Amino acid sequence: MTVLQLSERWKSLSKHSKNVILLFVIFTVLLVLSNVRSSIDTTVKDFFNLLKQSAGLGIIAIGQTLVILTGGIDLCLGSIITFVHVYIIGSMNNDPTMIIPVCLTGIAIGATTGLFNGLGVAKAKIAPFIMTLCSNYILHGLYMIYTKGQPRGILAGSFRMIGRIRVFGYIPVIVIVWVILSILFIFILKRTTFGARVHMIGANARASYLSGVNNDNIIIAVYVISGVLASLAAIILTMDMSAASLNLGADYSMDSIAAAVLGGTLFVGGIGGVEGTVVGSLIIRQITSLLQKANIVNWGKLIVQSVIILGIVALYSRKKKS
Amino acid sequence: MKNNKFTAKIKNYKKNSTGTIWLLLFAVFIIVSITVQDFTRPANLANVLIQMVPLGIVAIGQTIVMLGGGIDLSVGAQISFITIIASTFMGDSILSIIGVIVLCLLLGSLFGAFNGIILKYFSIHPLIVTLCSGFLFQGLAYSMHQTTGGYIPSIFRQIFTASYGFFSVPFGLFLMLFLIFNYLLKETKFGRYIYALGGSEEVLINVGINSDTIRIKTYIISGFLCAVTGLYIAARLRSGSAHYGSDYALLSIAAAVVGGTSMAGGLGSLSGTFAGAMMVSMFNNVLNNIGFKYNLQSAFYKDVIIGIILVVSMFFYRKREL
Repeated sequence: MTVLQLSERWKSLSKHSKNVILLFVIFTVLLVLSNVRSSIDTTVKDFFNLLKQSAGLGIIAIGQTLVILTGGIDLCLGSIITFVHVYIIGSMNNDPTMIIPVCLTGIAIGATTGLFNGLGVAKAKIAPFIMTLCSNYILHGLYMIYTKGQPRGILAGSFRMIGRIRVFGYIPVIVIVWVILSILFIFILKRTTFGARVHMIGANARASYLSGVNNDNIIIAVYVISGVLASLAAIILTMDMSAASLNLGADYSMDSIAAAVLGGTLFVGGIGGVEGTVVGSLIIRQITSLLQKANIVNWGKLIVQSVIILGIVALYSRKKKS
Repeated sequence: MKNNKFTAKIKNYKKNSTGTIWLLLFAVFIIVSITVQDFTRPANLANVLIQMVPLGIVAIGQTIVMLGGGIDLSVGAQISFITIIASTFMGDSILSIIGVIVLCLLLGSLFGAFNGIILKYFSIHPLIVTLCSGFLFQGLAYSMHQTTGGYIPSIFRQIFTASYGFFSVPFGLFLMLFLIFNYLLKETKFGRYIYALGGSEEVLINVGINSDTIRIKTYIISGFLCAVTGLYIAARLRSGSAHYGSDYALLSIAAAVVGGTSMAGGLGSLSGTFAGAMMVSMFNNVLNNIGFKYNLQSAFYKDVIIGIILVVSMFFYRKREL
């Protein structure tokens, strides 16, 4: 392909696809730059490490992307993750027969929270921000009551073994799940009616309603999916841990918003997609690990992330009429 | 004819829900006094009044911002930041105390101005701006201080928390601020402009008033009141921490919404917020009383109950229009 053809192709792409490709370039440059002194072997290892670290965030950010596409936002994902996490560890208590029922209940917790949010947003017309902030608060109270402030319990050995499996000796299970879910949701958003409707509600809810779409059901479905994905991520993240932690989910609400927005999903809804979010999650985790190396992760991350989100949202927003 | 007038009056009454919320507060107060032992002890009642002070002051600012059609989710981080500044820089001399108070008030106003100016130049939803700026301030607060600590001179604490029976300095301060801002909202041009900004910005602009300036001013007021709250909390707890303010974002929204302030703006009153803050503080006190008696994790039940109250009250107010 000649350069001319390439530039023609580039021009014909949509703004969103251009952004996604640019993000991939930025990610690769960052990866190379942070490993500039090390060999190719360590760079590859670093990449797989990064994949593993981003997988949990990536799965959660898929749900967040769907919600943001409809013009909403989900601020209770972090609490869902912590709740499911402490519930799984607390209820399993080293009993292998409990694995499946406990995991199913965990997913039910996520689905119920999503349903609650969806009903509040779609039927009661409460602003998504406030609705999910409230459920965040409620869930926080619930898991504190459940654990009495000190989470305890032991994971079953076979459950933890799943987390240790490496496919082809390299790839952890969580990455496989992430890849499958990403492809699935890219397909759903691009090729199915449901995906088109999700985009349409965010772009113009009135038009969507007038063309005969039941907006409420789609919105409820989106919040339920987001809740289920969060609890799924919590289950997979839990496989890797030895003890319960009340801080597991703390950052994930903000991280997932940052990943989605960085990936080109607009807050106003209607524009964006999961393919951007995948790169977004990778870059967010890359930044986290860079900050970790500089040893300022606890506060540096908050500042960097808020500046990134504000900057990108400001970049996309039109300047107000004077 | 008379009947018509009567129904109109009732409808008007419903619109102006300030009376309703005070009646509700009174009813809850009576129920609580009968059912909960020791609640009506004068010492406890005085306590309820003092406990509502920080929430009440923040909620005044939150209400003013919400009346202007905005929202301020960064109040919690602002308060935390101020407690840290106060506890880090305050010395024993009167001059340094006054200097730090002035510095804190200026800084709070600056935070508010930051929110307002971003809103002026970019068409981003206030929820996103203040969520991000909240994380930004939180990160800055962490960067200064990662644990609870600092030094507050005892004279500052004594003046700020002095109480004589039912009269206490903090409650007096709250009452003073309440009266000032109530006057500002009800009697001055500026107050009317705030209502107009929330009601219909278009009209305000067409009349020839700079709506951006009004909006920036509402955020500055909120930041200023956060600084006052931060100073009070620092004085009461004699330390500063990046966590002290974390609950206030949701609680202040709860107080305003329960008090009848509309999320869409232009509807509500400070006296409603007063009642709302009182209600939240009363629930808090009652839950602590009960929790102490039956050895429950009352703090965690509080989260759940306040979250549910907020969702329910939003549900009831959802159909209100201007």
